[in-house]
Amino acid sequence: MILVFVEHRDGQPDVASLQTLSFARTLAAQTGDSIEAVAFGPDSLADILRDYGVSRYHSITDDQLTAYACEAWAVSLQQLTDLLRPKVLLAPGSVKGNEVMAYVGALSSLCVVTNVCQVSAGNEWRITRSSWGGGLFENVLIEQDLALLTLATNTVEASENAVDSCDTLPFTPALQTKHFRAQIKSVESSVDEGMSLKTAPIVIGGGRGVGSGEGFAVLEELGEILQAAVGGSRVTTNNGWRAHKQQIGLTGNHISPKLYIACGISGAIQHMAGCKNSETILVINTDENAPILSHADYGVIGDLHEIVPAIIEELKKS
Amino acid sequence: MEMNILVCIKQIPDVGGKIKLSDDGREIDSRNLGFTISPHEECAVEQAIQIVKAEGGSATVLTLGIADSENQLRDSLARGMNKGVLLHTENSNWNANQIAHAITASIKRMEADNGTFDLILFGVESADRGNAQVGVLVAHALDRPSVNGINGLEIEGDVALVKRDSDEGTENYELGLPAVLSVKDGMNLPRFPSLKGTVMAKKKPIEIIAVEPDDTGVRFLQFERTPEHSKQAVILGRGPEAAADVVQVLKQLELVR
Ligand SMILES: Cc1cc2nc3c(=O)[nH]c(=O)nc-3n(C[C@H](O)[C@H](O)[C@H](O)COP(=O)(O)OP(=O)(O)OC[C@H]3O[C@@H](n4cnc5c(N)ncnc54)[C@H](O)[C@@H]3O)c2cc1C
Ligand SMILES: Cc1cc2nc3c(=O)[nH]c(=O)nc-3n(C[C@H](O)[C@H](O)[C@H](O)COP(=O)(O)OP(=O)(O)OC[C@H]3O[C@@H](n4cnc5c(N)ncnc54)[C@H](O)[C@@H]3O)c2cc1C
Repeated sequence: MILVFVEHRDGQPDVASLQTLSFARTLAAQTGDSIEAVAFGPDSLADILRDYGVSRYHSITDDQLTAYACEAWAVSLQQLTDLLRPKVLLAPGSVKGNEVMAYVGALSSLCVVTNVCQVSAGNEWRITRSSWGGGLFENVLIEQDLALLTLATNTVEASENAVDSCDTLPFTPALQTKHFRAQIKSVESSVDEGMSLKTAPIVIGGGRGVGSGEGFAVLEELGEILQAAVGGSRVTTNNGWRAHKQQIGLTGNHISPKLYIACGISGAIQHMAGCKNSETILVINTDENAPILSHADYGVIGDLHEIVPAIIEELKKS
Repeated sequence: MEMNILVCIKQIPDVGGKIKLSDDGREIDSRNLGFTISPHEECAVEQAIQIVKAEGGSATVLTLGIADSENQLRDSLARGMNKGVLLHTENSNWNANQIAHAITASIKRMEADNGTFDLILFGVESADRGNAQVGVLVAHALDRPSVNGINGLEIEGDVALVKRDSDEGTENYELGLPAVLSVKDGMNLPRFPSLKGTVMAKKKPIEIIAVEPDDTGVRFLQFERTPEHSKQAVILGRGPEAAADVVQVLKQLELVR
């Protein structure tokens, strides 16, 4: 049996969890296993879970489980896993998914494989995971009876495949006060300010080549004209030229605009990890051998401080 | 309250735009490369330096790695950390659980001699493998509360006020010290080592302890290249003269009229 950990908001599973259920189905097809799900959620989740191929839903309930507490969640999952003895416990590779699974691994003295992209289950279980910020795949063999895995987000699309029915089975874990020593006290919902890097149709990125915080003025001006969001490479956030909120890349924002204009950016793998889903990439760089040119559609070779003002002039003309 | 803080960092090759693998795919070919640590860990180091500046106490930086990782410890010492610990190994068969075991054992030994670390800081994930495991494993082994991937930290008496961003928004936690926290890039702006700091770092103590890995449950086979999306950009031109062509592209993409 494959047990999938599902996260939800107000009784609606999140996209990463639905992707995880879809991934579990392809794995179950290989191994001939059934899929069961576990969540800290209401009975009503069963309806949606059934649509995604789940035949049994284990609903964990405890009076103290009002807000997320990593250890309490992990202890609950571990107790349920001990009872059900699945082959795999699979979770979405979200902030909470990765954190809870790390704890489950710690509690059961087992290794966890995170950011999984592919599983081939034969005599040996061979797993491919995303490594180096997506720059490499890494192959590992599982040498333990229970595979603890988290799925890299957006590895598969969420797709329905309903089964006849899904039973809800309540599970009450044995929890202690100490399992709640790190519990959420409150949550502030984040407010979007201005043009967001994640949603803007055009994003302009500046790198070390911009030269200074003041140097970003031309990019801001172009951004105003094109209604584009302006961000930067880690060099620019590290130097305090841009706020970290505006960083593009592995440890910053992951963008997917129609057009990304990268100015004075070399194209390090960690930068590309955050912008490779752009539909079109246009590069402005003094170096015609800059690595970013082999990920880009268009390039202009030269000083951005001459080229960007010229583009602004040209746009004002037309 | 004086704070005794430990920060764990991991040396990795600074790969730039392309990763070269060894022939058997088991290693990164790091022959012409410099070395660095993850930005998450740089922020953890910075946070420790800031806290000790404000509250007093001492900040120790630890790494488990080959002899050369001493350079990454020196870099942190040059930024303002007080002392270093190198868990030295030339063995390459370490996974997250084994690393956590070795780090936990050395923490227990250090704490027996010098008192408890009020805070133990990690990066949320290492820059290479990024399993996001070691911090949680150490927290569990030491039986201390922990939060992974924090974006904000304030110390109030013997409580850590912690912020973490997730899909839900910004989560607030209050953890009693001692605690284990894994830091996310962006929490602060890490300082660069000063010239004076670099000179002083040479005199700061680094303790070296030999370690070896224990048993394992997941075996690493090899790395594999991701599909090459390699394309060659169409060069529109050189210098400001190319501006008209850029605007042409914007029109083609229907992004301007
Ligand atoms: C674990 C990890 C995570 C990381 N996460 C991120 C991340 O999220 N985002 C990120 O960006 N980086 C990240 N980095 C850093 C990354 O490795 C690079 O160091 C960084 O992206 C380089 O930034 P850059 O391209 O601006 O600078 P450089 O690599 O120095 O490139 C500057 C470029 O500008 C060009 N140039 C110079 N002057 C001009 C000019 N006048 N006009 C036009 N072009 C000019 C140069 O030819 C060069 O190509 C991470 C690193 C690690 C190890
Ligand atoms: C010298 C050395 C050689 C290795 N060679 C191989 C190899 O050839 N094959 C192989 O399969 N694996 C190898 N590994 C193991 C592998 O690279 C990872 O270190 C391991 O899987 C730990 O997980 P992670 O890096 O994903 O850590 P994560 O759990 O992502 O790390 C989280 C945080 O824990 C801390 N941390 C992690 N590692 C260390 C460390 N070493 N020292 C101090 N703090 C740390 C950091 O703060 C980091 O930000 C090697 C490790 C070392 C140290």
